[in-house]
Amino acid sequence: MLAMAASDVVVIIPAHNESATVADVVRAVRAEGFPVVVVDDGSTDATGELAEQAGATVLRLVVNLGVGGALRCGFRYAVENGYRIAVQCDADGQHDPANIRALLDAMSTEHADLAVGNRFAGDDAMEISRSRRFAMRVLARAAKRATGQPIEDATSGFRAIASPLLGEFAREYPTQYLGDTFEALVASARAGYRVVSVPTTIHARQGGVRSATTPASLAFLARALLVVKLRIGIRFRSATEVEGCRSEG
Amino acid sequence: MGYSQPLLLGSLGLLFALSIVVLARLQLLTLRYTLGWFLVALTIGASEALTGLAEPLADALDIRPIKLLLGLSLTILLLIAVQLSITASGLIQTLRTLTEAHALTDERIRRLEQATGGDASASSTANDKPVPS
Repeated sequence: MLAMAASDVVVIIPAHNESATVADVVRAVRAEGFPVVVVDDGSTDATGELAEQAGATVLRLVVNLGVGGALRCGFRYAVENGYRIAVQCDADGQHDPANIRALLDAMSTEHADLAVGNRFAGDDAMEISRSRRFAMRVLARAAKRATGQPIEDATSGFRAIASPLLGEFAREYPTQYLGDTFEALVASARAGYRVVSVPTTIHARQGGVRSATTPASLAFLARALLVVKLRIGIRFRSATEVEGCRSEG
Repeated sequence: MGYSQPLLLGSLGLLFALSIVVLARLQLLTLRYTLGWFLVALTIGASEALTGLAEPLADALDIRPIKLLLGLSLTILLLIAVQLSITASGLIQTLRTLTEAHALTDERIRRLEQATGGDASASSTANDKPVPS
């Protein structure tokens, strides 16, 4: 992990038809002093325009790529523009921008490459259905087994990523549902990057809809577990390998 | 058996081959896939003759020639399906990469237009620090 300055950090918000909430989220993040990039993932409403008016840089995907695709585009923007840390945050108002500093602080003090916001550790822990809690427990256990690191909330989309892992995310990133959270986390840890869990506040969704139905979520859960178990998912290069490639180039 | 079975299979093969020609002429199939599907059409059309050719091998393997041909046909179709899956996966990756590259380039153009006072649609309140590489 590297020493950070505020100008090294950019907040990436993937958004698909989030016109009801995106402007407020952008303003809240900017109030924390961070630049914001909204990746408009093929929205058919005014998400991009509203985000821009609220002060965000907007990357417009002409085709809907899903959260993982939108995030990779954001990571590429971060790398191309010299940012060394990217924070990913949802556009629906669930993540509290005031917690961004907690992610960055944890990253700095614990020398982490990836800080994952834990939605179940705070006083106002998120209320979720029994089936969803079960799925999250299964994933958390699988993540712990695969990485050897205690990750309580393996599907949290509130994260901070530092270079050189950020460069790996920009190069290749899982795009399927749960791929962008669970699989990316496991792949990061397997490549030797340090992952830490940080208690964060979670709010009720201010707008938008869940991206997957329950049967679809179960199918994605089975798929994600299979990918991790069989090691057929994306493989990130370790920090040493990245450094080696850089010096060769 | 007579001629009805070879005639039926030959006609099916010919019809399939003609369909492939039409699709290729409409530019809906590339040469690569045209040739692949032509091979399948040929196999269908000549399956009666191929049964005769397959007899020695089927005898050696102690299975019926028709089963051997069926197995081979399914293998060809499976290989084509796998090849198509590989192509589709590659195309999805290409589409993703192009879409991302388009979004990044579009943002740079809008930023440049804004900086040069061109016809920028971007708001002047946008982030203060994107540093182009």
